[in-house]
Amino acid sequence: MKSTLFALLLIVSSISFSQNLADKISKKATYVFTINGGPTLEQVSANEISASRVFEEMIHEFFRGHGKIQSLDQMGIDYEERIFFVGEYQEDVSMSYMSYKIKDAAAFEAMVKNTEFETEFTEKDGMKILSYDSENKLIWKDDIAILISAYYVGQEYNEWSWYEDEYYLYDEIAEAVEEVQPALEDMTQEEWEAYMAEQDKKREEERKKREEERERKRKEKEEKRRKRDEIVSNSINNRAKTYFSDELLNNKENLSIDLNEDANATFWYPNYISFVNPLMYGMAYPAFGYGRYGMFGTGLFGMTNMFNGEMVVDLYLEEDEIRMDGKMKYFGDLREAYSKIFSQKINSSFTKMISDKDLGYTSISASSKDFLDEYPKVIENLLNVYDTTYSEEYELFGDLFSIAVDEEAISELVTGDALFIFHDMGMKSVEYYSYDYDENYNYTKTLKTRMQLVPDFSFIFGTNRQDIMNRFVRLGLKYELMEKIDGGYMFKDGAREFGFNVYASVQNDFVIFSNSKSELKTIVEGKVESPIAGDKKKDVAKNTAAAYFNIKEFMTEMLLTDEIRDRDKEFFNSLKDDLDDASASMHFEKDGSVFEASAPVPAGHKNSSLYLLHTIDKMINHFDRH
Amino acid sequence: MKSFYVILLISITTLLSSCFEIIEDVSLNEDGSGTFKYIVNFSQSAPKVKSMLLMDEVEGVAVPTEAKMKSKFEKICLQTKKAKGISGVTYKSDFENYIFNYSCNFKKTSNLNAALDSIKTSLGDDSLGVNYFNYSVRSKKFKRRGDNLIENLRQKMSESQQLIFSGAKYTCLYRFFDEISNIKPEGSKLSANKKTSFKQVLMSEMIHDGHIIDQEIQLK
Repeated sequence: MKSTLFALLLIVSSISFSQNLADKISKKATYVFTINGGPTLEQVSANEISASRVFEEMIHEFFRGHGKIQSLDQMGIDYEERIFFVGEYQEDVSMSYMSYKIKDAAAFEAMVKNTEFETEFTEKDGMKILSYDSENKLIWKDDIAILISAYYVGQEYNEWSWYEDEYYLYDEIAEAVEEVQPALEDMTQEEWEAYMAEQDKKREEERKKREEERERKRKEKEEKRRKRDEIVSNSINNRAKTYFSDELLNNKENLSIDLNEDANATFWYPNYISFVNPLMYGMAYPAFGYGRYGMFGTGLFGMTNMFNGEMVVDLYLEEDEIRMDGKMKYFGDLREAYSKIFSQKINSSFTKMISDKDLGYTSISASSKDFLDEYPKVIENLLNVYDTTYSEEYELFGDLFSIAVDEEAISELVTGDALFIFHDMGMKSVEYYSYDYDENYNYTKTLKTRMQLVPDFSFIFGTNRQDIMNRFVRLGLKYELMEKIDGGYMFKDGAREFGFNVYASVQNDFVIFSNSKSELKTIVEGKVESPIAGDKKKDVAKNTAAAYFNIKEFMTEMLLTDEIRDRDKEFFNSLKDDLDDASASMHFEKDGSVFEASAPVPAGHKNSSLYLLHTIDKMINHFDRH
Repeated sequence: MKSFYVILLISITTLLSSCFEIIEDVSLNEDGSGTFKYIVNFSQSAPKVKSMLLMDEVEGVAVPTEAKMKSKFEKICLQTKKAKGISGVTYKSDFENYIFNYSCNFKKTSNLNAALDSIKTSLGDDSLGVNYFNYSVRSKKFKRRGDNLIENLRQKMSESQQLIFSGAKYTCLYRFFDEISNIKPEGSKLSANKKTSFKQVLMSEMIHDGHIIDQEIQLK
């Protein structure tokens, strides 16, 4: 929350363009986020920012309650220049930094001295260095400052193994005790007491053993930490030296990005990270999770490979709306592949399935035949772009894939049109067991019902093989997995598997699953009330993908239930009127995918910058009260 | 579709309070032997539990599979079978309604305590030796002492994870062969036949003080 506030504050606190800071970004960058305050400060003044709760909170957080800063100007930062947030990978170290220009060196140094961490900074190689700890340092030279945070990501001194060892230690001991357990029931009292004494002794020995093991691990951990600190600290110092020199520029190792000067902020992200270690799970864990718990589809044959490219997203804080425009240029042969995959438009009948009253929806239309045709080629081509280490594996996989898959037949079965509709938040009766007591507190297990907030949704996908789908249904009926209902079928185990009933129906050119019997019937019979029209319909019909979410209505319906805690209810109630709806769409153009997302500024707000500032202030006030 | 729905459901349900109940039911005979029953009932939160079990992890915590949960539960129950003075161990896990039942007979309350300690040891908890249940045949006095097991667990949980305790209840039922003359502290209810005490506390309070269930019951 605090870091978000800090970032959001910075969105509304910088101006203009600084070529030299952009030149200092390395080609090893994994993301770049830059804030261009110029357009923003036309909507919200520095004084309004200084007077906001966001600013107050940021100062409080940054200085841990000891800051004496009361306005933006007192910070000494040149908020008329761009501020950059950059992530970089170095050997065994993941690094992120924030860089900005200093406007008033005296004010800036007075500000950083305000912190409670360390009031004195050191000077080395012309750089002034304030070390918060081994992983976080603020370094500045002349009129440029860089705040670097880094952490160790290598294997050799990794700390995770320590916890795993500790965990397995218990299991081993537990197993050992189990193996030697005698038949206790046959013992006399004396034997039992002797046995218990022996067990106590063993237990004490085990405890001591665990203590010793813990101590050994503690020392090992300490040593590893020292090594990690050393590696990270050196890495930060070396990066700072490079940053304050022209080394990257001279060696042409700097990153070149075209920054849109009209955008309030720009995010650049090259999704080639999974190439770094493709046989393992993708290294994009800061965004997608970590290790075996990472998002599905990463790794050698993972779906994320289909998204390798360079993405640039511009944020525009306009008077009447907040808008994001993005472009994704694909690596290697992906561009050509996607131009084919995204060439089709969604089945026009799908637009008639969405009601204007639905809370939200997501649609996608991609040619499954072209996807299956292109996928092996993409896989084969992937690593040749950057690395050839695993190209043989990829080629083999591509060939096997082509042999195994009949693209034509699959594309008939699943056309690639899909639609997810979030209809409503309904109160549904849910059965559960509890215990009733009689006058002597003897209890009986009783089936009861209660009302629970459950989202109503439908998922629809296109098919040209109704005959095959119907054979699935017949098998479902034959093995009593499904039963016939009006307009379709119900999965008998739906409630047990998912906690709600699941209904399905096979139609001429689509298959629908829904957890609402009535919504399923309405869609199947083509009787959807007030189907979407205008821009909403155009977005779904003309784009490769489209999404819409009525946040205000969703919040309103959520508040109808008593299941939400009073504290949260009060908060959402206060926030409800500051929310509206949001929509997004994506289509393919000559160079790659283009996507847009927008949310209108609700009535009563002068412009989007002030709207954001006031809304966040309101949130802070709420959290302060609780 | 499943993933999409689960994400949606989790997002919504994390805002909502959970609900489950635990019933601890001890029946005591005149010689100090008795029966111990323990019921953990997540039935009321079954849809939420089901949706969570479809995930690999929730808030960074790995979600065990149904098979793993069943195996762990059985392992714990079987472990008590080996304890001295414990017999008639029965257990049942109902993964449709998420109700878990355990019961056993004990010769003395100390046997029951040792059995409970063996469970804690297997879970890696060294804080043994709590006299959870104590009955003196001579003075006809029954004592229940809580511990901080749940409080310790709570301290490892994030604020949102602790929501699981919101609305949850812990019920203590102690049944005797004779009438109860006095219960300390106040707050327990007495059955019509005056042989059973009933105390129900909120888990949201118990996670801050495990001794909230402490009581002394004097029989006539």
